[in-house]
Amino acid sequence: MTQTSRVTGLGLVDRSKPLDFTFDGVPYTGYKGDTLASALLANGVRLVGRSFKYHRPRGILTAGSEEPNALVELRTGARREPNTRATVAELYSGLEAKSQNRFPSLSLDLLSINGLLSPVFSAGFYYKTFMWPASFWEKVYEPMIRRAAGLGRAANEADPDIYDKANAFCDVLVIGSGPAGLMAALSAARAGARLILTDESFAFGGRLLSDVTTIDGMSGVEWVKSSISELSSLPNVRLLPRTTIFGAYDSGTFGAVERVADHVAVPSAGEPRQRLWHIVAKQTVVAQGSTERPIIFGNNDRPGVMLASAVRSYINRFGVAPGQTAVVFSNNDDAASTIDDLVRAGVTVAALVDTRASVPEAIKLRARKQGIRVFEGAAVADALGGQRVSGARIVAAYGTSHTVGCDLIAVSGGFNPNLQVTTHLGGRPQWHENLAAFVPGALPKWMTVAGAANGVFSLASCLGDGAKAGHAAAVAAGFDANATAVPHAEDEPINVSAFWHVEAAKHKAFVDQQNDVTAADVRLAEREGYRSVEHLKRYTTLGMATDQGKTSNVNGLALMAELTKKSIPATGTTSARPPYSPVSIGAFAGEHRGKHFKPTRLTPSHNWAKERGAVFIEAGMWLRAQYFPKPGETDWQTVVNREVTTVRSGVGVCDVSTLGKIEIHGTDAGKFLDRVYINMMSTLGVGKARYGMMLREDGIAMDDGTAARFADDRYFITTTTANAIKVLQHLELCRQWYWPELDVQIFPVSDQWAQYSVAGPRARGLLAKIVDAPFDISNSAFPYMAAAELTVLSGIKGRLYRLSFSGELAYEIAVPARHGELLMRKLMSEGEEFGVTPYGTEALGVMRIEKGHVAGPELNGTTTAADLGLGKMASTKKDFVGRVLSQRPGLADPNRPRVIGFKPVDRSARLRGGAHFIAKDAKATAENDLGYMTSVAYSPSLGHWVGLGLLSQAESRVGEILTAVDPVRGETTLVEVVPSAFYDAEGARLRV
Amino acid sequence: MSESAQSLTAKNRPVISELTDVSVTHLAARREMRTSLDDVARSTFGVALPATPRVVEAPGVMIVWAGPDQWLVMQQRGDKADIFAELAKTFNGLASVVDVSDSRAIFRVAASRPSDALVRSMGIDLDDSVFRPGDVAITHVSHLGVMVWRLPDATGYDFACPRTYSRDFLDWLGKI
Repeated sequence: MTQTSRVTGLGLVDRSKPLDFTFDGVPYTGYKGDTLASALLANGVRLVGRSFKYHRPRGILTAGSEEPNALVELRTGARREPNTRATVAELYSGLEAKSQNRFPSLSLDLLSINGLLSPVFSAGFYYKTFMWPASFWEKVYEPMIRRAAGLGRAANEADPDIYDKANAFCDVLVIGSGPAGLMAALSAARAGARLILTDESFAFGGRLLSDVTTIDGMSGVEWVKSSISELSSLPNVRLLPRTTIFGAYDSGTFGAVERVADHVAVPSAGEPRQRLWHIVAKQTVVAQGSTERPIIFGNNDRPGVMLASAVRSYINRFGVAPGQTAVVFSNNDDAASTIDDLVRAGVTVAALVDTRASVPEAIKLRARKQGIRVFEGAAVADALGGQRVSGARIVAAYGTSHTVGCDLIAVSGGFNPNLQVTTHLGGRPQWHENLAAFVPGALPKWMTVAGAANGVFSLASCLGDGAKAGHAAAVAAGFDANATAVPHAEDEPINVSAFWHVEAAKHKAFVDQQNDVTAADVRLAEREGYRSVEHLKRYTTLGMATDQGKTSNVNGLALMAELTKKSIPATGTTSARPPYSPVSIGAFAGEHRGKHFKPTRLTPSHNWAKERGAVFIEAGMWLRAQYFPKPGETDWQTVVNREVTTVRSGVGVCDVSTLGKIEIHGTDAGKFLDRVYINMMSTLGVGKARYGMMLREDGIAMDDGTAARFADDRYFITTTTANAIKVLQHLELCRQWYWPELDVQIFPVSDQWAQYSVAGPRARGLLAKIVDAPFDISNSAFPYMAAAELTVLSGIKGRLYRLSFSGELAYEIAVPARHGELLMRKLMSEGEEFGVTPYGTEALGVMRIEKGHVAGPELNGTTTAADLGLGKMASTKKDFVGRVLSQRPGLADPNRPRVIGFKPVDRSARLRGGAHFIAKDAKATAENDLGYMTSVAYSPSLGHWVGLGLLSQAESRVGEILTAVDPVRGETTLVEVVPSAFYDAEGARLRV
Repeated sequence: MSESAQSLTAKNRPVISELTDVSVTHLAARREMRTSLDDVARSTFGVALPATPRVVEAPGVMIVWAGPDQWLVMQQRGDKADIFAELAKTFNGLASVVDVSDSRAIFRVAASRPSDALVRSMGIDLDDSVFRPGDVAITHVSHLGVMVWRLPDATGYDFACPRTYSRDFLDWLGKI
């Protein structure tokens, strides 16, 4: 198919580089420099999509990122990408696009019947229509709505592309490369500032590419070329085209996305598809131009209704005539250049319709010279036609109605400065009566706004404003330079007279085309009391979705102002949150996907364990040995049973290096620990260790661990693996903010030490072969809860603690991490004669449940020390973090569920974690819930399953039989409530 | 210890090596002992403890600022006696002293100026004119906490990250 709408001699596209593409399977050709939208228009395609709710035919309204209608699915397979704006998608060879939200085809969409049902789909219809019966919501209403509404389809496969992240620092960031942005960049760069210039388009120049202008005697396009060539030659300048600044953050930090390879079918090897930039700028000039406003009239969403500035972009930048006969509908002086450009492109201009009672003489003259009919004080009330505009019904002064045939209505309701990023940090835009637009309000001191974004519209004033802003930014960033000369350009006034919507419209008049929100919906919202702009937005969905209301917010606000008879500033303002335009999740994830999502931490014995055939489990960021199968052992339960039995009868070794380890030093170290633990630590003797518990400030248990004292001013504490970082943060907070007067120094040393638990009745015999003489490891010299610094394996500095998690005679032995593997190998070889076994996290867990020790499932952020059976540990002789709030009635309630033990009544039955306890004969309902099972294990020592759980009035229920209901697995088991220590309750085995 | 960094050093990239034979001692001033600590440090090392994020060098020792009133003292281990024990004795009562030689992996990137890739990868301004020889920063790269310092003689950059994160850190370092 030939490009029937391409205009000879116009446009900046490269006609020597034709590019083939398809839309809904039909092949077309465009040129390098086209967007998908311009290439479709060049090929005469006007209908490109169906609307969100009513499935109305939609075309192309804009030529930029504000596009509400022309959303397509781009690419196929794993790269399929929904809701891509055709107006920003850069054309490439082989591009495949599909229209969205239509069934079965774009031209015949059966769901357009929704338009006839519009009373059902009015504002707030979700809330009103689908209320009864409630049970229908999930199975009927929601699936039905999802099929009918919505936009494109995301890819079903994993994204095959890579995404990059980068940081950049600069003195001056200039956002936007139109006349103001380019002048700001030139001024700042010439002053020597490190400069970054970004533009969301693939070509620099902004409106200068879309309008016919003269700057210093050359065309605007030539001036852009020479300016960019100067900037690229400077070493202090980084140019980032195809880059959208999507958010402004604290202290001059910006988020930006660079579309590195969106303009090719497939990125080249190693090339990222997109790059997320983190830019930190000392000073920023926002020069993002403005967005033209549509006017609300009947059928203003028909394909062929287009913003006047977009019409000029298609003509001047892309060399495309977006219609054959046009009506220009405007409330401002800018219409004059639209008429000139249309005429130059060979488009017949049937009428100029201006809402102003008196159109400036110069414009009328220009129009009449071309034989164009001028309607003053008039409006286009309705567009005619279905899938394409076929005419305009014009209502002129005194209510006369005229129908003019046309296939293009170029509409301009004035200009909204693109001030979104100025509001990201809380800035409130100000209403400017003469411009009939919001302009930026108070700005951070490192931000200025220039050009159209600042409400400055003529070319000469944009250049001047940009030069001034760029120079000021460089000076503020510490550069001393003279102001740069401002090139000469025309200073045409652009008078505008506010006009929002046409009362005389007979057809649906859209405020927000993307969300199918009509003027009637806004009226309805007003009648129903949703008058605040925030309520209006939520009730009607106006301003939501991919375009974030760039063409609709101000119109919606103005309409509400009229309805409530208030001024626009009294009605509200428009502010935005990041992102300025959609950013793909891939760009945010960057390389942090799959196994790179988080670091993988390996224990010091990892290589050895791998050699040994260990099965590993991810525990937070750690990869830990779960169990160590021997040849021939195929069932994990068999392995774990053997490991537990070996520990209980002989000796086993487990890598516990993942515990958090912290040195607490200083003359006030004891005092400090007294304040963070519920129990007393200052009385701990040197060479001793003690179990301890910390609370959060709200009185809930935070973590448990041990503290060992090596000198009066030197403690070493451990935390659980899961809470290592949290506890360190908590301690630093306490040290730096709560009690800076204490002489305390904190050192995280988790990675310094390899630490192994050596447990079992034969542990002492094994360790005697590891520790260096003359260390005395006998029970009397080194009793339960002793701690010592010593040397092991002929001179390696180490530490030994007599601590037990398993309930057996046990030690924890530590050496600097570099010697960790050696120590493990030695423990294994020296342990052979004792029948040593390595054991993993499974056996560790089984033994702690057998002993009734609490761990992660019980220390779950909802339990108190008392709930965990550790209430008596809390000292009454001192204050500590969490003490006061732990005594509030809710936490001190004796009926709170507490940790207790459970056995199956039928000893062969299996227990299930998560099962809920119900009185034996009660119904399994939420009202009868008494608590739930937190941890379960098969106990090889006892020969049946054992469990720990949180149970209401736990102690008084010991001996009671309850039902454990597991609705997830559909199992019900009778359990007996028993004390939580299943094994060696007296602790005799610890002290031998 | 972490995997060999050498294997990741490809052609045209700065040479990356891991400092393995280094004793690293974490020094934190005891409360109100800063003046006495400075005097002893000066007479022991011949240089003052840096009060700002800087790294200073003296024969056989490099002292890296590691936070307010905190430093990492790096000394070649060689066949010297117990370096840590000596420091602990020297600063007894003036500073808390902990051996952290195995806590961090330290990588040296030999480069007189930062490569573009390095500058882009860092969340701090590593521009040659901003991050000067002897500067120190405690920051993060690729979601991993690191300390970075530029060698006072401008011959390279040292990165110190927790030992168990060093595999992931090397992944990142291999890409710069």
